[in-house]
Amino acid sequence: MISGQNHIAIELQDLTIGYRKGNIQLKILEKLNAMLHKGELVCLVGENGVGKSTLLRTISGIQPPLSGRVFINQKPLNEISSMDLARTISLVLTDRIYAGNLSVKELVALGRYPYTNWLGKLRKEDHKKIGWALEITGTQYLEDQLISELSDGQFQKTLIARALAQDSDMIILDEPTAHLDIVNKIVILKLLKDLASNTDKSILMATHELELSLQVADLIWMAYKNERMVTGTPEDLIINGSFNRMIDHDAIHFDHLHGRFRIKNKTDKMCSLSGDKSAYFLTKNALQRKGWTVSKEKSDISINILKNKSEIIWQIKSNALEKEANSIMEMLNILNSM
Amino acid sequence: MSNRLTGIILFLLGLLVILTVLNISLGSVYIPFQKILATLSGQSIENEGWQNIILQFRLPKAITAILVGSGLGISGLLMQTLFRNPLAGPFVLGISSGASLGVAIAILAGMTFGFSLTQMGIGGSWILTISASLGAVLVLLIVILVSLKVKDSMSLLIIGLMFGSATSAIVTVLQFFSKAESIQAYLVWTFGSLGGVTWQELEVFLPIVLLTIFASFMLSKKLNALLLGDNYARSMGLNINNTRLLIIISTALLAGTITAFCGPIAFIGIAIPHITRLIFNTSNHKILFPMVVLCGAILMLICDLIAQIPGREYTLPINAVTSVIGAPLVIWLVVRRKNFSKTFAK
Repeated sequence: MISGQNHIAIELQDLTIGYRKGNIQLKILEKLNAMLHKGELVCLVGENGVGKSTLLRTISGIQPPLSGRVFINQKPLNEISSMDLARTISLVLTDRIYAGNLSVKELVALGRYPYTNWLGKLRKEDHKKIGWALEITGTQYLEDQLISELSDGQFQKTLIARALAQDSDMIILDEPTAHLDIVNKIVILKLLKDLASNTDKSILMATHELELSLQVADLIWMAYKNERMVTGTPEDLIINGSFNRMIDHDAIHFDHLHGRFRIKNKTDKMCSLSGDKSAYFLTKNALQRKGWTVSKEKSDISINILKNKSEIIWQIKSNALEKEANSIMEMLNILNSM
Repeated sequence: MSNRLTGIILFLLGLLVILTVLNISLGSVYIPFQKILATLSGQSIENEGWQNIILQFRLPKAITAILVGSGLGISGLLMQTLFRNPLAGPFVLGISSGASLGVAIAILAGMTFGFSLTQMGIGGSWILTISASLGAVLVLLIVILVSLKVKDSMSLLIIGLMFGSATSAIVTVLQFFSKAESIQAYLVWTFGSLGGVTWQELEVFLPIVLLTIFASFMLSKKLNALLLGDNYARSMGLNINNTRLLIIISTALLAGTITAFCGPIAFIGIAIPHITRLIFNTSNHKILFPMVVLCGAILMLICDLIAQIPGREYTLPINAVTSVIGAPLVIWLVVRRKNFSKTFAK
């Protein structure tokens, strides 16, 4: 990642986005200033309805901005012809596709649209790019399947392959991991991360996967309702409290230490926890979930984790009793009955 | 191209040839098969009556059937892709209603002023064609004007349907004030007819339909991109507005011309694209276009064969036959392929 002047892929200058109805402007996000460099993966986060999709649509030229400017490779967006833009930005959207009878290969081949002749005839170069896109997304084995037969994860990979076949400098994705299970989420994010670092493509992705985005994003654009958008590395945003500010809710807070969101629990019970490290974290997790405040200092109730080969025993001590449990569930039951 | 696909195409081509010959062979007058082949291959036969029936009536009718089937199939395909709606057909933009209005005015108003088209013979049929075209063109112009204003295809679809209803209502009002015989003449036109197209009319009809089908085939790359939706299509460099206009004009030319010459022929336009998609299991327009042409021609020839009821004097209204044959066929295909709804969306 080089942050020189020549390596700016996307730049927003005082950008205001939204909709225009006659003379009325419906502003959604205002005065956006942000930058995305070549080879960077940027996650755009923000709650539902904050305007993430509108921002992506504006940057990809589908929707005109209300004011301010978007620069793509240092050229004003509105001065780029639609054909040049098609070779610069490719999209992965959440739009429904009205052709279940299209095969995976046909769908990916559509990515070659800006390069083929009027009949869409694929030449050697096109076949090479399509093959590469299928290979890098691990979808070759699906190439003859119809897209209506694909699982959500396979379909998402196919859409990314189509964007890759479009051979653009930038890929813009709108919630590529929605509806996917955790393994597929990680597979897709890893794929995008590798693409950004190995191929020098810039990737801008709107996502709700805050915790996962911390692990893959070079930069986070964090959009708030009626406020300035904040940008920075994930770690900076955690330290300066932006993450916590985004979730303005009593029930959730962002755990700085572990880089994850936690559900706030009423903590009126105290206990101390000590012992084997391998089970320490999970035991603490269970206790916190049940409303216990866990500390290492001495307290009325203490729990010690003992590890004997593969067997783990939880020793529970208080003034009144001393018991042993063979599982976390048993331990919680004992604590509950006290 | 896979072997299976080549096999199906060869089979359909063979079927098309057989059906064309069969279509010409069968009719209310029995003509021996050898005589038909002889006439078709350019020899003259002793019986001039037979020769006339074959060359002046049955041959143009078979050609008309092929043109109508493929033309309506293509315009249905264009509309279904543009509107991403399986229920769209050639007439969703109100083109047939516009043609009906033209014809209704010509027949119903014409009679009020004391001349009857049915008594005017050939001249009368041209007046019908011209008034149908004018009606279709009028509606088309309005639709194009609206499409320049309305950027959203779904809104355009609804507006088209509204135009259709409004025009039909005007026709109803015209009928209300007309005499029984003129209403009957109008009704006969709405039954549709393949047999009324003369060689002279074919000179206009054939080039328009063939050229428009060819022109819309050149849109197949753009249509494939449209399958992904407006946003994707635009992001790949497609000019949505131009493409939409070209699609609307092609559809209007096909559906308008066919309605002008043959009356409003129902159902074929909606059914053919579905049948083709189900048979070939594809959404790729480069394959769909030629196959829709083939399937459309075949189905229309079959419908016409049935409409003639071989050996009888009567001809059933072609409009009724297309629906009676087409509906069960589509239902059968849809039920057999349980994933039908998926062929339209993911």
